[in-house]
Amino acid sequence: MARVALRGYCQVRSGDKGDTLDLTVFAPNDGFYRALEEQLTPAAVLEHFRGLARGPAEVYPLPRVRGIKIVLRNALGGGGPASLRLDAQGKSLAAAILRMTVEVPDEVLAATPFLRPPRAVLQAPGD
Amino acid sequence: MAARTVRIGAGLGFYGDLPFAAADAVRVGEIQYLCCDHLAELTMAILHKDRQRDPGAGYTRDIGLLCQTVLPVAMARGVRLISNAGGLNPYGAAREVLQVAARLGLQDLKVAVVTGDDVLDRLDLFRQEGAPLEPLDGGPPYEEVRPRLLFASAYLGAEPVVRALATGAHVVITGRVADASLFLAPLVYEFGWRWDDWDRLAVGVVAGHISECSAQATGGNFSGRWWEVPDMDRIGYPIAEVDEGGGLVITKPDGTGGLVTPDTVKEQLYYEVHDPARYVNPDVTADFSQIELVQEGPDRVRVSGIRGGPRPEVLKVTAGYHDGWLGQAVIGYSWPDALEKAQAAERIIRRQMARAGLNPEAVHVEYLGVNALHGPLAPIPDEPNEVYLRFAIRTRTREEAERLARLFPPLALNGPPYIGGALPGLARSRQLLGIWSTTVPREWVEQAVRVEVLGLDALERAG
Repeated sequence: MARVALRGYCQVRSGDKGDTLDLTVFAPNDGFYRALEEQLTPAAVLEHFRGLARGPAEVYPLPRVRGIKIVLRNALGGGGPASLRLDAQGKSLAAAILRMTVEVPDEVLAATPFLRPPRAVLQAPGD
Repeated sequence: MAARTVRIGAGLGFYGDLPFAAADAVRVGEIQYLCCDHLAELTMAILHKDRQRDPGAGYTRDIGLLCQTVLPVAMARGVRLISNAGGLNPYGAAREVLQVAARLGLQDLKVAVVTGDDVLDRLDLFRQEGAPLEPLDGGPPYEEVRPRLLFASAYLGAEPVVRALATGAHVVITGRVADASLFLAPLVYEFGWRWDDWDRLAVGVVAGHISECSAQATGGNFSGRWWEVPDMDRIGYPIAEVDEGGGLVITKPDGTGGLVTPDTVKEQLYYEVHDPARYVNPDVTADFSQIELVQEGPDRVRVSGIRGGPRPEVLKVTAGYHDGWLGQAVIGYSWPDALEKAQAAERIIRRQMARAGLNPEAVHVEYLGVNALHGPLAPIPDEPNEVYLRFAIRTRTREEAERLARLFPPLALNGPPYIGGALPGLARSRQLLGIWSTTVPREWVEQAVRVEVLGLDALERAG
Protein backbone atom coordinates (compact mmCIF):
# COMPACT_ATOMS: atom_id res chain seq x y z
CA MET A 1 0.00 0.00 0.00
CA ALA A 2 1.15 3.52 -0.67
CA ARG A 3 -0.36 6.82 0.43
CA VAL A 4 -0.56 9.24 -2.48
CA ALA A 5 -2.19 12.57 -3.21
CA LEU A 6 -4.91 12.51 -5.88
CA ARG A 7 -2.94 15.00 -7.98
CA GLY A 8 -1.60 13.50 -11.16
CA TYR A 9 -4.03 10.57 -11.00
CA CYS A 10 -7.57 11.89 -10.80
CA GLN A 11 -9.74 14.23 -12.81
CA VAL A 12 -11.77 16.77 -10.84
CA ARG A 13 -14.21 19.58 -11.47
CA SER A 14 -16.04 21.88 -9.07
CA GLY A 15 -18.91 24.31 -9.25
CA ASP A 16 -21.16 26.19 -6.90
CA LYS A 17 -24.78 26.59 -5.96
CA GLY A 18 -25.24 29.32 -3.40
CA ASP A 19 -22.86 28.59 -0.53
CA THR A 20 -22.48 24.94 -1.51
CA LEU A 21 -19.43 23.49 -3.26
CA ASP A 22 -20.29 20.71 -5.68
CA LEU A 23 -17.34 18.70 -6.91
CA THR A 24 -16.69 15.42 -8.69
CA VAL A 25 -13.54 13.30 -8.49
CA PHE A 26 -12.91 10.71 -11.21
CA ALA A 27 -10.59 7.73 -10.81
CA PRO A 28 -8.47 6.59 -13.77
CA ASN A 29 -9.12 2.86 -13.26
CA ASP A 30 -11.20 0.44 -11.22
CA GLY A 31 -8.55 -0.20 -8.56
CA PHE A 32 -8.16 3.49 -7.89
CA TYR A 33 -11.94 3.91 -7.89
CA ARG A 34 -12.29 1.30 -5.15
CA ALA A 35 -9.80 3.24 -3.04
CA LEU A 36 -11.75 6.47 -3.55
CA GLU A 37 -15.08 4.83 -2.84
CA GLU A 38 -13.76 3.48 0.47
CA GLN A 39 -11.84 6.51 1.63
CA LEU A 40 -13.62 9.60 0.30
CA THR A 41 -16.20 9.50 3.05
CA PRO A 42 -18.12 12.59 4.22
CA ALA A 43 -15.99 12.69 7.36
CA ALA A 44 -12.71 12.45 5.44
CA VAL A 45 -13.76 15.16 3.01
CA LEU A 46 -14.89 17.46 5.81
CA GLU A 47 -11.59 16.96 7.58
CA HIS A 48 -9.66 17.76 4.41
CA PHE A 49 -11.59 20.99 3.83
CA ARG A 50 -11.47 22.09 7.45
CA GLY A 51 -10.88 25.83 7.61
CA LEU A 52 -12.54 26.34 4.22
CA ALA A 53 -15.90 24.64 4.64
CA ARG A 54 -18.19 24.07 7.64
CA GLY A 55 -20.15 21.23 6.04
CA PRO A 56 -22.12 18.99 6.16
CA ALA A 57 -20.84 16.85 3.30
CA GLU A 58 -22.71 14.32 1.14
CA VAL A 59 -21.00 11.76 -1.06
CA TYR A 60 -22.55 9.92 -4.03
CA PRO A 61 -20.68 7.14 -5.84
CA LEU A 62 -20.92 7.03 -9.65
CA PRO A 63 -19.48 3.61 -10.51
CA ARG A 64 -20.29 3.76 -14.22
CA VAL A 65 -17.94 6.66 -14.73
CA ARG A 66 -15.66 5.86 -11.76
CA GLY A 67 -16.68 9.13 -10.18
CA ILE A 68 -17.35 10.32 -6.66
CA LYS A 69 -19.74 13.26 -6.35
CA ILE A 70 -19.20 15.41 -3.28
CA VAL A 71 -21.59 18.10 -2.08
CA LEU A 72 -20.06 20.32 0.58
CA ARG A 73 -22.27 22.91 2.24
CA ASN A 74 -21.30 26.22 3.82
CA ALA A 75 -18.13 26.15 1.78
CA LEU A 76 -17.89 29.36 -0.17
CA GLY A 77 -17.92 32.19 2.33
CA GLY A 78 -21.60 32.86 1.78
CA GLY A 79 -21.88 32.06 -1.89
CA GLY A 80 -20.74 33.70 -5.11
CA PRO A 81 -22.31 37.13 -5.16
CA ALA A 82 -22.20 37.46 -1.36
CA SER A 83 -18.68 36.19 -0.77
CA LEU A 84 -15.55 38.25 -0.07
CA ARG A 85 -13.27 35.55 -1.46
CA LEU A 86 -11.26 35.99 -4.64
CA ASP A 87 -12.56 32.64 -5.82
CA ALA A 88 -16.10 33.20 -4.65
CA GLN A 89 -17.48 30.41 -6.79
CA GLY A 90 -14.93 27.84 -5.74
CA LYS A 91 -13.84 26.99 -9.27
CA SER A 92 -10.31 26.35 -8.01
CA LEU A 93 -11.46 24.18 -5.13
CA ALA A 94 -11.61 21.10 -7.34
CA ALA A 95 -7.84 21.36 -7.34
CA ALA A 96 -7.86 21.55 -3.54
CA ILE A 97 -9.15 17.99 -3.34
CA LEU A 98 -6.17 16.90 -5.42
CA ARG A 99 -4.13 17.60 -2.28
CA MET A 100 -6.07 14.91 -0.42
CA THR A 101 -4.26 11.60 0.10
CA VAL A 102 -5.56 8.04 -0.09
CA GLU A 103 -4.04 4.60 0.44
CA VAL A 104 -3.68 2.73 -2.85
CA PRO A 105 -2.47 -0.86 -3.30
CA ASP A 106 1.02 -0.99 -4.83
CA GLU A 107 -0.09 -2.99 -7.86
CA VAL A 108 -2.83 -0.44 -8.63
CA LEU A 109 -0.39 2.43 -8.40
CA ALA A 110 2.07 0.63 -10.64
CA ALA A 111 -0.65 0.40 -13.29
CA THR A 112 -1.70 4.05 -13.00
CA PRO A 113 0.21 6.72 -14.93
CA PHE A 114 1.05 9.95 -13.15
CA LEU A 115 0.09 12.80 -15.45
CA ARG A 116 1.55 16.24 -15.63
CA PRO A 117 2.12 18.67 -18.47
CA PRO A 118 5.56 19.33 -19.98
CA ARG A 119 7.47 21.79 -17.80
CA ALA A 120 6.98 25.46 -18.62
CA VAL A 121 9.94 27.30 -20.09
CA LEU A 122 9.83 31.04 -19.63
CA GLN A 123 11.61 33.50 -21.89
CA ALA A 124 12.93 36.52 -20.07
CA PRO A 125 10.19 39.17 -20.31
CA GLY A 126 11.54 41.38 -23.06
CA ASP A 127 8.91 43.36 -24.85
CA MET B 1 -34.35 3.09 -41.82
CA ALA B 2 -32.23 5.39 -39.67
CA ALA B 3 -34.09 7.29 -36.97
CA ARG B 4 -34.54 11.00 -37.63
CA THR B 5 -32.03 13.09 -35.71
CA VAL B 6 -31.95 16.68 -34.62
CA ARG B 7 -28.67 18.51 -34.01
CA ILE B 8 -28.64 21.30 -31.48
CA GLY B 9 -25.57 23.49 -31.22
CA ALA B 10 -24.53 25.42 -28.14
CA GLY B 11 -24.03 29.12 -28.79
CA LEU B 12 -23.12 31.17 -25.75
CA GLY B 13 -22.63 29.71 -22.28
CA PHE B 14 -22.69 32.87 -20.17
CA TYR B 15 -22.97 36.67 -20.32
CA GLY B 16 -19.57 37.78 -21.49
CA ASP B 17 -18.96 34.81 -23.76
CA LEU B 18 -17.74 35.47 -27.31
CA PRO B 19 -19.83 34.58 -30.38
CA PHE B 20 -17.10 32.83 -32.41
CA ALA B 21 -18.03 29.32 -31.40
CA ALA B 22 -21.66 30.12 -32.20
CA ALA B 23 -20.57 31.32 -35.64
CA ASP B 24 -18.71 28.05 -36.25
CA ALA B 25 -21.67 26.01 -35.08
CA VAL B 26 -24.04 27.75 -37.44
CA ARG B 27 -21.62 27.76 -40.37
CA VAL B 28 -20.28 24.19 -40.30
CA GLY B 29 -22.07 22.41 -37.47
CA GLU B 30 -24.99 21.19 -39.59
CA ILE B 31 -27.34 22.11 -36.79
CA GLN B 32 -31.04 22.90 -36.84
CA TYR B 33 -31.05 24.89 -33.61
CA LEU B 34 -28.61 27.13 -31.78
CA CYS B 35 -29.27 27.45 -28.03
CA CYS B 36 -27.70 30.20 -25.98
CA ASP B 37 -27.57 30.52 -22.23
CA HIS B 38 -26.72 34.03 -21.05
CA LEU B 39 -28.01 33.90 -17.48
CA ALA B 40 -26.07 32.70 -14.45
CA GLU B 41 -27.45 33.39 -10.95
CA LEU B 42 -25.43 36.58 -10.76
CA THR B 43 -26.43 37.92 -14.16
CA MET B 44 -29.87 39.12 -13.08
CA ALA B 45 -28.16 41.41 -10.55
CA ILE B 46 -26.17 43.08 -13.32
CA LEU B 47 -29.29 43.41 -15.48
CA HIS B 48 -31.21 44.87 -12.57
CA LYS B 49 -28.61 47.61 -12.20
CA ASP B 50 -28.70 48.26 -15.95
CA ARG B 51 -32.45 48.61 -15.84
CA GLN B 52 -32.32 50.99 -12.88
CA ARG B 53 -30.18 53.34 -14.94
CA ASP B 54 -32.25 52.84 -18.12
CA PRO B 55 -35.76 51.32 -18.25
CA GLY B 56 -35.10 50.16 -21.80
CA ALA B 57 -32.27 47.94 -20.57
CA GLY B 58 -32.36 44.77 -18.46
CA TYR B 59 -31.47 42.24 -21.13
CA THR B 60 -27.99 40.91 -21.85
CA ARG B 61 -26.25 43.27 -24.20
CA ASP B 62 -24.41 40.48 -26.01
CA ILE B 63 -27.55 39.57 -27.95
CA GLY B 64 -26.83 42.30 -30.52
CA LEU B 65 -23.35 41.07 -31.39
CA LEU B 66 -24.49 37.45 -31.35
CA CYS B 67 -27.28 38.16 -33.81
CA GLN B 68 -25.08 40.30 -35.98
CA THR B 69 -22.60 37.42 -36.13
CA VAL B 70 -24.91 34.47 -36.75
CA LEU B 71 -28.22 35.67 -38.16
CA PRO B 72 -27.32 35.97 -41.85
CA VAL B 73 -25.96 32.41 -42.05
CA ALA B 74 -28.62 31.08 -39.66
CA MET B 75 -31.43 32.50 -41.75
CA ALA B 76 -29.88 31.17 -44.96
CA ARG B 77 -29.56 27.68 -43.49
CA GLY B 78 -32.79 27.58 -41.55
CA VAL B 79 -31.08 27.41 -38.16
CA ARG B 80 -33.35 28.70 -35.42
CA LEU B 81 -31.97 30.59 -32.44
CA ILE B 82 -33.19 30.12 -28.85
CA SER B 83 -31.78 32.48 -26.25
CA ASN B 84 -32.54 33.54 -22.70
CA ALA B 85 -30.86 36.91 -23.28
CA GLY B 86 -34.21 38.52 -22.42
CA GLY B 87 -33.25 38.51 -18.76
CA LEU B 88 -35.39 41.11 -17.02
CA ASN B 89 -36.59 42.70 -20.27
CA PRO B 90 -37.35 40.17 -23.00
CA TYR B 91 -39.14 42.76 -25.15
CA GLY B 92 -36.05 44.96 -24.97
CA ALA B 93 -33.92 42.09 -26.23
CA ALA B 94 -36.42 41.31 -28.98
CA ARG B 95 -36.32 44.92 -30.08
CA GLU B 96 -32.55 44.77 -30.38
CA VAL B 97 -32.75 41.54 -32.39
CA LEU B 98 -35.23 43.21 -34.75
CA GLN B 99 -33.00 46.26 -35.11
CA VAL B 100 -30.06 44.04 -36.07
CA ALA B 101 -32.29 42.19 -38.54
CA ALA B 102 -33.39 45.48 -40.08
CA ARG B 103 -29.76 46.59 -40.49
CA LEU B 104 -28.91 43.24 -42.09
CA GLY B 105 -31.84 43.44 -44.46
CA LEU B 106 -33.54 40.35 -42.98
CA GLN B 107 -37.03 41.70 -43.56
CA ASP B 108 -38.91 38.50 -42.80
CA LEU B 109 -37.35 37.77 -39.46
CA LYS B 110 -39.78 36.94 -36.69
CA VAL B 111 -38.95 36.95 -32.99
CA ALA B 112 -41.07 35.10 -30.43
CA VAL B 113 -40.90 36.59 -26.93
CA VAL B 114 -41.59 34.46 -23.87
CA THR B 115 -42.54 36.34 -20.70
CA GLY B 116 -43.98 35.48 -17.31
CA ASP B 117 -40.88 34.35 -15.45
CA ASP B 118 -40.46 37.69 -13.66
CA VAL B 119 -42.47 37.24 -10.44
CA LEU B 120 -41.07 40.02 -8.25
CA ASP B 121 -44.37 41.92 -8.27
CA ARG B 122 -46.40 38.80 -7.61
CA LEU B 123 -44.59 37.29 -4.64
CA ASP B 124 -46.75 39.14 -2.11
CA LEU B 125 -49.84 37.93 -3.94
CA PHE B 126 -48.57 34.34 -3.92
CA ARG B 127 -48.00 34.68 -0.19
CA GLN B 128 -51.52 35.98 0.36
CA GLU B 129 -52.91 33.13 -1.71
CA GLY B 130 -51.21 30.69 0.62
CA ALA B 131 -47.82 29.85 -0.87
CA PRO B 132 -45.45 29.38 2.08
CA LEU B 133 -42.47 30.83 0.17
CA GLU B 134 -40.12 28.86 2.41
CA PRO B 135 -36.48 29.71 1.71
CA LEU B 136 -34.45 26.92 0.12
CA ASP B 137 -30.97 26.22 1.50
CA GLY B 138 -31.60 27.83 4.89
CA GLY B 139 -31.92 31.43 3.77
CA PRO B 140 -33.73 34.13 5.80
CA PRO B 141 -37.56 34.14 5.87
CA TYR B 142 -39.48 35.93 3.10
CA GLU B 143 -40.61 38.82 5.28
CA GLU B 144 -37.00 39.63 6.12
CA VAL B 145 -35.72 39.78 2.53
CA ARG B 146 -38.84 41.24 0.91
CA PRO B 147 -37.89 44.92 1.41
CA ARG B 148 -34.43 44.32 -0.07
CA LEU B 149 -35.32 42.16 -3.09
CA LEU B 150 -33.89 43.41 -6.37
CA PHE B 151 -35.26 40.76 -8.74
CA ALA B 152 -37.14 37.46 -8.57
CA SER B 153 -37.51 35.09 -11.50
CA ALA B 154 -39.10 31.68 -11.81
CA TYR B 155 -37.29 28.99 -13.76
CA LEU B 156 -39.73 28.16 -16.54
CA GLY B 157 -39.65 24.84 -18.35
CA ALA B 158 -39.59 23.98 -22.03
CA GLU B 159 -43.31 24.26 -22.77
CA PRO B 160 -43.51 27.99 -23.58
CA VAL B 161 -40.39 27.65 -25.75
CA VAL B 162 -42.09 24.81 -27.65
CA ARG B 163 -45.10 27.11 -28.14
CA ALA B 164 -42.76 29.81 -29.39
CA LEU B 165 -41.16 27.42 -31.87
CA ALA B 166 -44.60 26.38 -33.09
CA THR B 167 -45.24 29.95 -34.26
CA GLY B 168 -42.48 29.56 -36.83
CA ALA B 169 -40.40 32.36 -35.34
CA HIS B 170 -36.74 32.32 -36.36
CA VAL B 171 -35.55 33.59 -33.00
CA VAL B 172 -36.99 32.81 -29.57
CA ILE B 173 -36.13 35.22 -26.75
CA THR B 174 -36.94 34.27 -23.18
CA GLY B 175 -36.24 35.52 -19.70
CA ARG B 176 -35.36 32.96 -17.07
CA VAL B 177 -35.86 29.40 -18.32
CA ALA B 178 -34.10 26.37 -16.85
CA ASP B 179 -30.90 26.19 -18.91
CA ALA B 180 -31.32 22.58 -19.98
CA SER B 181 -34.94 23.24 -20.97
CA LEU B 182 -33.73 25.63 -23.68
CA PHE B 183 -32.21 22.56 -25.36
CA LEU B 184 -35.08 20.19 -24.52
CA ALA B 185 -37.66 22.44 -26.19
CA PRO B 186 -36.59 21.90 -29.83
CA LEU B 187 -36.53 18.15 -29.22
CA VAL B 188 -40.08 18.12 -27.90
CA TYR B 189 -41.12 20.35 -30.79
CA GLU B 190 -39.49 18.19 -33.47
CA PHE B 191 -40.31 14.76 -32.09
CA GLY B 192 -43.60 15.43 -30.37
CA TRP B 193 -42.44 13.85 -27.14
CA ARG B 194 -45.16 13.85 -24.51
CA TRP B 195 -44.80 15.86 -21.35
CA ASP B 196 -44.97 12.66 -19.29
CA ASP B 197 -42.41 10.73 -21.34
CA TRP B 198 -39.93 11.08 -18.50
CA ASP B 199 -37.10 9.04 -19.94
CA ARG B 200 -36.99 11.02 -23.18
CA LEU B 201 -37.45 14.36 -21.47
CA ALA B 202 -34.49 13.37 -19.29
CA VAL B 203 -32.43 12.82 -22.45
CA GLY B 204 -33.20 16.37 -23.52
CA VAL B 205 -32.24 17.71 -20.11
CA VAL B 206 -28.97 15.76 -20.13
CA ALA B 207 -28.23 17.03 -23.66
CA GLY B 208 -28.83 20.58 -22.45
CA HIS B 209 -26.85 20.18 -19.26
CA ILE B 210 -23.84 18.94 -21.19
CA SER B 211 -24.11 21.75 -23.73
CA GLU B 212 -24.91 24.79 -21.63
CA CYS B 213 -21.45 25.72 -20.34
CA SER B 214 -19.49 26.71 -23.44
CA ALA B 215 -16.59 24.29 -24.00
CA GLN B 216 -16.64 22.64 -20.57
CA ALA B 217 -17.67 19.35 -22.22
CA THR B 218 -15.38 19.66 -25.23
CA GLY B 219 -11.96 20.01 -23.62
CA GLY B 220 -12.29 23.37 -21.91
CA ASN B 221 -11.53 23.55 -18.17
CA PHE B 222 -10.44 19.92 -18.57
CA SER B 223 -8.54 18.41 -15.67
CA GLY B 224 -7.24 15.40 -17.61
CA ARG B 225 -4.50 15.77 -20.23
CA TRP B 226 -5.56 19.35 -20.91
CA TRP B 227 -2.21 20.15 -22.50
CA GLU B 228 -3.12 17.79 -25.33
CA VAL B 229 -6.45 19.46 -26.19
CA PRO B 230 -6.01 20.78 -29.72
CA ASP B 231 -6.47 24.43 -30.65
CA MET B 232 -8.08 25.83 -27.52
CA ASP B 233 -7.92 29.23 -29.18
CA ARG B 234 -10.62 28.03 -31.53
CA ILE B 235 -12.43 25.60 -29.29
CA GLY B 236 -15.72 24.21 -30.51
CA TYR B 237 -18.83 24.11 -28.32
CA PRO B 238 -20.97 20.99 -27.98
CA ILE B 239 -23.45 19.74 -30.50
CA ALA B 240 -26.12 17.40 -29.14
CA GLU B 241 -27.32 14.98 -31.79
CA VAL B 242 -30.56 13.37 -30.62
CA ASP B 243 -32.83 10.84 -32.30
CA GLU B 244 -36.54 10.34 -31.92
CA GLY B 245 -36.10 7.40 -29.55
CA GLY B 246 -33.89 9.37 -27.20
CA GLY B 247 -30.48 8.32 -28.44
CA LEU B 248 -27.93 11.03 -27.66
CA VAL B 249 -24.49 11.69 -29.10
CA ILE B 250 -22.32 14.63 -28.11
CA THR B 251 -19.97 16.03 -30.72
CA LYS B 252 -18.71 19.41 -31.93
CA PRO B 253 -18.43 21.26 -35.25
CA ASP B 254 -15.87 19.86 -37.73
CA GLY B 255 -12.61 21.71 -37.89
CA THR B 256 -12.94 23.43 -34.53
CA GLY B 257 -10.50 22.96 -31.68
CA GLY B 258 -11.26 20.98 -28.57
CA LEU B 259 -11.80 17.33 -27.80
CA VAL B 260 -14.86 15.17 -27.19
CA THR B 261 -14.17 12.01 -25.22
CA PRO B 262 -15.87 10.31 -22.29
CA ASP B 263 -13.28 12.02 -20.09
CA THR B 264 -14.11 15.51 -21.30
CA VAL B 265 -17.86 14.94 -21.34
CA LYS B 266 -18.11 13.38 -17.88
CA GLU B 267 -16.64 16.44 -16.17
CA GLN B 268 -19.47 18.58 -17.53
CA LEU B 269 -22.11 15.86 -17.18
CA TYR B 270 -21.83 15.84 -13.41
CA TYR B 271 -21.05 19.53 -13.03
CA GLU B 272 -23.21 21.12 -10.30
CA VAL B 273 -25.87 18.38 -10.36
CA HIS B 274 -25.81 17.66 -6.58
CA ASP B 275 -27.57 14.30 -6.05
CA PRO B 276 -26.98 12.59 -9.43
CA ALA B 277 -30.02 10.34 -9.09
CA ARG B 278 -32.35 13.32 -8.70
CA TYR B 279 -31.50 16.23 -10.92
CA VAL B 280 -34.63 18.35 -10.68
CA ASN B 281 -35.61 20.33 -13.74
CA PRO B 282 -39.03 21.97 -14.32
CA ASP B 283 -39.83 19.36 -17.00
CA VAL B 284 -38.50 16.16 -15.44
CA THR B 285 -36.53 14.76 -12.52
CA ALA B 286 -33.56 13.20 -14.26
CA ASP B 287 -31.46 10.30 -13.02
CA PHE B 288 -27.83 10.70 -14.04
CA SER B 289 -26.52 7.92 -11.82
CA GLN B 290 -26.59 5.10 -14.40
CA ILE B 291 -25.27 7.05 -17.36
CA GLU B 292 -22.63 5.43 -19.55
CA LEU B 293 -20.35 7.27 -21.97
CA VAL B 294 -18.86 5.51 -25.00
CA GLN B 295 -16.54 6.90 -27.67
CA GLU B 296 -18.17 6.33 -31.06
CA GLY B 297 -15.66 7.83 -33.43
CA PRO B 298 -13.42 10.89 -33.33
CA ASP B 299 -15.01 13.56 -31.12
CA ARG B 300 -18.28 11.63 -30.85
CA VAL B 301 -19.50 10.28 -27.51
CA ARG B 302 -22.73 8.35 -27.04
CA VAL B 303 -24.56 9.06 -23.78
CA SER B 304 -26.89 6.27 -22.65
CA GLY B 305 -28.49 4.96 -19.47
CA ILE B 306 -30.45 8.16 -18.90
CA ARG B 307 -33.64 7.77 -16.88
CA GLY B 308 -36.30 10.21 -15.78
CA GLY B 309 -39.11 10.55 -13.27
CA PRO B 310 -42.03 12.94 -12.71
CA ARG B 311 -41.48 16.66 -12.85
CA PRO B 312 -41.98 18.76 -9.71
CA GLU B 313 -45.31 20.39 -8.84
CA VAL B 314 -43.51 23.62 -8.08
CA LEU B 315 -41.15 25.91 -9.93
CA LYS B 316 -37.99 27.25 -8.39
CA VAL B 317 -37.83 31.01 -7.98
CA THR B 318 -34.47 32.69 -7.51
CA ALA B 319 -34.24 36.21 -6.17
CA GLY B 320 -31.41 38.52 -5.23
CA TYR B 321 -31.32 40.94 -2.36
CA HIS B 322 -28.95 43.69 -1.43
CA ASP B 323 -26.51 42.48 1.21
CA GLY B 324 -23.94 45.17 1.81
CA TRP B 325 -20.88 46.36 -0.05
CA LEU B 326 -17.51 44.84 -0.83
CA GLY B 327 -14.48 47.06 -0.36
CA GLN B 328 -11.12 45.72 -1.48
CA ALA B 329 -7.53 46.64 -2.29
CA VAL B 330 -4.52 44.71 -3.53
CA ILE B 331 -0.84 45.48 -3.16
CA GLY B 332 2.21 43.41 -4.11
CA TYR B 333 5.61 42.81 -2.54
CA SER B 334 8.67 41.32 -4.13
CA TRP B 335 11.24 38.80 -2.91
CA PRO B 336 13.02 38.73 -0.54
CA ASP B 337 10.68 38.07 2.39
CA ALA B 338 7.62 38.87 0.29
CA LEU B 339 5.14 37.17 2.63
CA GLU B 340 6.56 38.76 5.77
CA LYS B 341 6.30 42.21 4.18
CA ALA B 342 2.74 41.59 3.02
CA GLN B 343 1.77 40.47 6.51
CA ALA B 344 3.31 43.59 8.00
CA ALA B 345 1.19 45.63 5.59
CA GLU B 346 -1.91 43.74 6.71
CA ARG B 347 -1.19 44.66 10.34
CA ILE B 348 -0.73 48.32 9.41
CA ILE B 349 -4.05 48.42 7.56
CA ARG B 350 -5.93 46.76 10.40
CA ARG B 351 -4.66 49.33 12.92
CA GLN B 352 -5.40 52.22 10.58
CA MET B 353 -8.92 50.91 9.98
CA ALA B 354 -9.58 50.74 13.69
CA ARG B 355 -8.19 54.22 14.30
CA ALA B 356 -10.34 55.60 11.46
CA GLY B 357 -13.42 54.11 13.09
CA LEU B 358 -13.98 51.84 10.10
CA ASN B 359 -15.72 48.74 11.52
CA PRO B 360 -16.59 46.35 8.74
CA GLU B 361 -19.08 43.53 9.28
CA ALA B 362 -16.52 41.08 7.92
CA VAL B 363 -12.86 41.09 6.94
CA HIS B 364 -11.22 38.62 4.56
CA VAL B 365 -7.49 38.68 3.87
CA GLU B 366 -5.74 36.61 1.21
CA TYR B 367 -2.17 36.36 -0.04
CA LEU B 368 -2.14 35.88 -3.81
CA GLY B 369 0.60 33.43 -4.66
CA VAL B 370 0.22 31.76 -1.29
CA ASN B 371 -3.31 31.03 -0.09
CA ALA B 372 -5.86 33.06 -2.05
CA LEU B 373 -7.38 30.04 -3.74
CA HIS B 374 -6.94 27.16 -1.31
CA GLY B 375 -6.83 29.01 2.01
CA PRO B 376 -5.57 26.90 4.92
CA LEU B 377 -5.13 23.86 2.65
CA ALA B 378 -2.20 25.46 0.85
CA PRO B 379 1.31 24.84 2.19
CA ILE B 380 3.29 28.05 2.61
CA PRO B 381 5.98 28.29 -0.08
CA ASP B 382 9.55 29.05 0.80
CA GLU B 383 10.87 32.36 -0.59
CA PRO B 384 8.12 33.18 -3.12
CA ASN B 385 9.17 35.63 -5.85
CA GLU B 386 6.23 37.89 -5.16
CA VAL B 387 3.18 37.98 -2.91
CA TYR B 388 0.10 40.16 -3.32
CA LEU B 389 -1.96 41.08 -0.27
CA ARG B 390 -5.68 41.24 -1.02
CA PHE B 391 -7.72 42.87 1.71
CA ALA B 392 -11.53 42.61 1.46
CA ILE B 393 -14.25 43.91 3.76
CA ARG B 394 -18.04 43.86 3.87
CA THR B 395 -19.72 47.08 5.00
CA ARG B 396 -23.27 48.41 5.19
CA THR B 397 -22.58 51.47 3.04
CA ARG B 398 -20.65 52.07 -0.15
CA GLU B 399 -18.89 55.04 1.44
CA GLU B 400 -17.38 52.84 4.14
CA ALA B 401 -16.34 50.24 1.58
CA GLU B 402 -14.40 52.83 -0.39
CA ARG B 403 -12.53 54.09 2.62
CA LEU B 404 -10.44 50.90 2.70
CA ALA B 405 -8.75 51.48 -0.65
CA ARG B 406 -7.62 54.95 0.38
CA LEU B 407 -5.39 53.46 3.06
CA PHE B 408 -3.26 51.65 0.48
CA PRO B 409 -1.35 54.19 -1.63
CA PRO B 410 0.70 55.55 1.30
CA LEU B 411 2.03 52.02 2.01
CA ALA B 412 4.46 52.39 -0.89
CA LEU B 413 6.36 55.17 0.88
CA ASN B 414 5.48 54.55 4.50
CA GLY B 415 5.32 50.79 4.84
CA PRO B 416 7.43 47.67 4.15
CA PRO B 417 9.97 47.78 1.30
CA TYR B 418 9.93 46.80 -2.39
CA ILE B 419 6.35 47.30 -3.51
CA GLY B 420 5.44 45.39 -6.66
CA GLY B 421 2.39 47.18 -8.04
CA ALA B 422 -0.88 48.17 -6.46
CA LEU B 423 -3.45 46.83 -8.97
CA PRO B 424 -5.61 49.95 -8.52
CA GLY B 425 -8.36 48.60 -10.78
CA LEU B 426 -9.27 46.10 -8.11
CA ALA B 427 -9.94 48.86 -5.58
CA ARG B 428 -13.47 49.40 -6.93
CA SER B 429 -16.15 48.58 -4.42
CA ARG B 430 -19.21 46.65 -5.48
CA GLN B 431 -22.61 45.70 -4.17
CA LEU B 432 -22.86 42.32 -2.49
CA LEU B 433 -25.85 40.20 -3.23
CA GLY B 434 -27.57 37.53 -1.28
CA ILE B 435 -29.25 34.91 -3.44
CA TRP B 436 -32.61 33.81 -2.07
CA SER B 437 -34.58 30.93 -3.51
CA THR B 438 -38.00 29.45 -2.90
CA THR B 439 -40.65 27.46 -4.76
CA VAL B 440 -44.10 28.39 -6.03
CA PRO B 441 -46.93 26.12 -7.29
CA ARG B 442 -46.22 25.92 -10.99
CA GLU B 443 -49.71 26.74 -12.28
CA TRP B 444 -49.64 30.09 -10.50
CA VAL B 445 -46.58 31.09 -12.50
CA GLU B 446 -47.45 29.34 -15.74
CA GLN B 447 -50.87 30.92 -16.09
CA ALA B 448 -49.15 34.27 -16.66
CA VAL B 449 -46.63 32.99 -19.20
CA ARG B 450 -47.13 34.54 -22.64
CA VAL B 451 -45.67 33.99 -26.07
CA GLU B 452 -45.87 36.87 -28.54
CA VAL B 453 -44.43 37.07 -32.05
CA LEU B 454 -42.94 40.29 -33.38
CA GLY B 455 -41.74 41.21 -36.85
CA LEU B 456 -39.83 44.22 -38.13
CA ASP B 457 -43.06 46.20 -38.28
CA ALA B 458 -43.02 46.20 -34.48
CA LEU B 459 -40.06 48.57 -34.61
CA GLU B 460 -42.08 51.22 -36.42
CA ARG B 461 -45.07 50.81 -34.12
CA ALA B 462 -42.94 51.27 -31.03
CA GLY B 463 -41.56 54.48 -32.52
